Amino acid sequence: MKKWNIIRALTILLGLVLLALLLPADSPKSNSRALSFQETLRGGQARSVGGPEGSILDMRGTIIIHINKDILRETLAQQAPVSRLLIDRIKALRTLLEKREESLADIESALSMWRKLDASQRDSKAIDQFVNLLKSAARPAANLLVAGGPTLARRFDLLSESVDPELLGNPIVGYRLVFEAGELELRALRGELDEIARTEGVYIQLGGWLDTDRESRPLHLPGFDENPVPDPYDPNPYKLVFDSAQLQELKSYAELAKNINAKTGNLASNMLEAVRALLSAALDQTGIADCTRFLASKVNQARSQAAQSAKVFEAELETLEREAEDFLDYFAGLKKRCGLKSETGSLSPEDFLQQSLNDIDSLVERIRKLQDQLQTHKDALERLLGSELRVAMVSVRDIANQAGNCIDTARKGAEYFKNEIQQSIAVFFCSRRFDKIAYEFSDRVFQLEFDKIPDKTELDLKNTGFRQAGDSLLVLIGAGTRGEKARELETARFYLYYTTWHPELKVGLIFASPIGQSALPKKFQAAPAYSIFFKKASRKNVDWNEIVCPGIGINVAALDFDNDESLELGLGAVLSVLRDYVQVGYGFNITQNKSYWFLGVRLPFPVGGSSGSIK
Amino acid sequence: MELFKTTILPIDDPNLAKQIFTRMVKEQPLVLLVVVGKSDDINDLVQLGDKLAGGNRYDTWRRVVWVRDDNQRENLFEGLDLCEGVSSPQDSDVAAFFIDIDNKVCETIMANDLPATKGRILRGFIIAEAGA
Repeated sequence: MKKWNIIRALTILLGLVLLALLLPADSPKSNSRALSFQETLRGGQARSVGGPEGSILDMRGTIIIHINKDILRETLAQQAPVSRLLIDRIKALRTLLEKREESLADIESALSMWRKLDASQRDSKAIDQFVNLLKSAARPAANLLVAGGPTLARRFDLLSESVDPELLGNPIVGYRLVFEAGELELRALRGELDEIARTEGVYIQLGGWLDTDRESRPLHLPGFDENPVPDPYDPNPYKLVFDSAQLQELKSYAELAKNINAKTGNLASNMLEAVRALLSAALDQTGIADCTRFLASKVNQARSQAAQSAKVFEAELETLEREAEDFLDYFAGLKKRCGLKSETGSLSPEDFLQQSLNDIDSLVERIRKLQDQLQTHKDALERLLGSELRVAMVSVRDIANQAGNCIDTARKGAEYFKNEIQQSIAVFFCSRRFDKIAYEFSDRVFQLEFDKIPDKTELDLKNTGFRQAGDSLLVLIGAGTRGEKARELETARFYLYYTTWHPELKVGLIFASPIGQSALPKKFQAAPAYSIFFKKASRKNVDWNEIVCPGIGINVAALDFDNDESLELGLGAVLSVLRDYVQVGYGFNITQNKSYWFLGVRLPFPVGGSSGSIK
Repeated sequence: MELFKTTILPIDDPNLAKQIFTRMVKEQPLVLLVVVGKSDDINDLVQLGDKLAGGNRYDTWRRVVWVRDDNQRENLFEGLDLCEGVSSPQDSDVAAFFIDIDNKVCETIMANDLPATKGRILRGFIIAEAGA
């Protein structure tokens, strides 16, 4: 039965991998956008980003935000009391003028083809080719003359008058004049629009935010705001050291491996056992149980003091104690359910995680309730206490305050744990973490008149503060009129990853199976391990980076193939997928001179840390 | 006056005139400025048109056809395709017109628009080159 669960889980994982491979790259439309972006990397290489070039930035790059005022002007005009005709004319002229260079080059080609056509007796295929080329080359200028109307025609006539007619015999010269007349006309029309914008008090705002798991941090875009610049943070992926949480995690995996190795059973059941045990341990780390125990004991203590003073006071404290005990019972039940095979054994891994999330959710709710009850009792006790019970009151207040702090810490721990799991699940179901954030310009963001807008601004990601791979950068441009809030005109979202090959250090648990004879009582041995994975994020596909996230690297494991409780060093090559949650590899026990293959796991929540490690 | 890109149709032989005109319209991938009549403004238009068609300096697809005899309109221009909203060249108010690369009459210069400027003629050529 368990074997089938594992097979089913692996099938789902494989399905997710295939789905991720089939998913199209994020490619927001880039046509007619007021904002365009260029990324500069450390090595000095520059590339366009956003639109078809993908929306993934390197964690350590610099982004230059260009503001196309022409497009911005047209977008704005659509929201201001400007005649539709004026906007349409501006848009049409701009679009046609964008084809200027291509059109002039095609006219050159048509002239050259014409000369060859003459020499080759003008066969029908060549004539067709020439006609098609000439028509497509001439169309932008012809359309410009039509779209520009009589005013553009007058400008063109004036420009033509200043040129020698013999020079105008070269078609290129005439076409160039049409485009020049078009530019003049467009400039005049834009002037009209700018005047309207000035009169109406239109302003522009540009803002940037760094979205992480925990916050949405406004960024400083030079020329556009006076937001504070966080302490520069320059992540160095090449520095391979364990942080304190990883060290603690490694310790927990070691204990877990020891427990697993002491039990019988096959690989599948032991792996599920590992997941269950880690989940249960993680619940303990939230500090909820310790806190509630502390609360109950303190209340009991206070009750014995109060019993001497007032019955009513005692009754209140009894209720409080009962509620604390109820909560402890509930928590114990929850923990038991997490650890029971009968409760979770038939679930697929993703359902198992989802159920755990529901439990954690209800736990958070219970803690919140307990906190409210505590406050109610604290208020009631304060009311009950008379001057003769002042001493006891001080004691109760003290207990209440301590308990309040303790519960608050425990709640934060539970919420953090819940968020960790929630995010991991969300990632696997392809939902974006940042979709629901509402962005608003603060008072620190300047309201700039149209002619005061800089053409570009530069953001060195170093100045966005602490960030991690998978965090996101949002750029928003908005417009408003005097006395009104700015409305959103355009947004662009980028995801930050290490886009060059880099190492990543990960801690986990492996199940090593020696090849050939071994002294092990089972076919495999659980062992704590760490891996140095080499990875490179996709430039195009966020889902690939978030879900598949493959890695290749070196695995180092603490083995004990001869069961003598002295550790042996295992070194191996490892492949990982699904953000390293699943690993497979082949290694060599250096001490025992023995090869082994292994399966590895890592869990989507912190293992072995303490509630004090809450970020 | 010396003309390099202009074909002057014979006045005294309507059949030959028709033959030449038809060949220029149908058989060659040309953009034509057809000028009708005989006056100082028309003469200037023909000369300017010839220069803007390349004169003796540039080899281009632009050509000028000069129909000096106004009475040949009916005979010569019968059956020409017209772009939408364009006056018929058989109308005596039309002093000149452009035949585009698809052999359609797509632009006209009316008699009361004379004398025609360089800009006006160039605009006609460009629109005719883009086709219908």
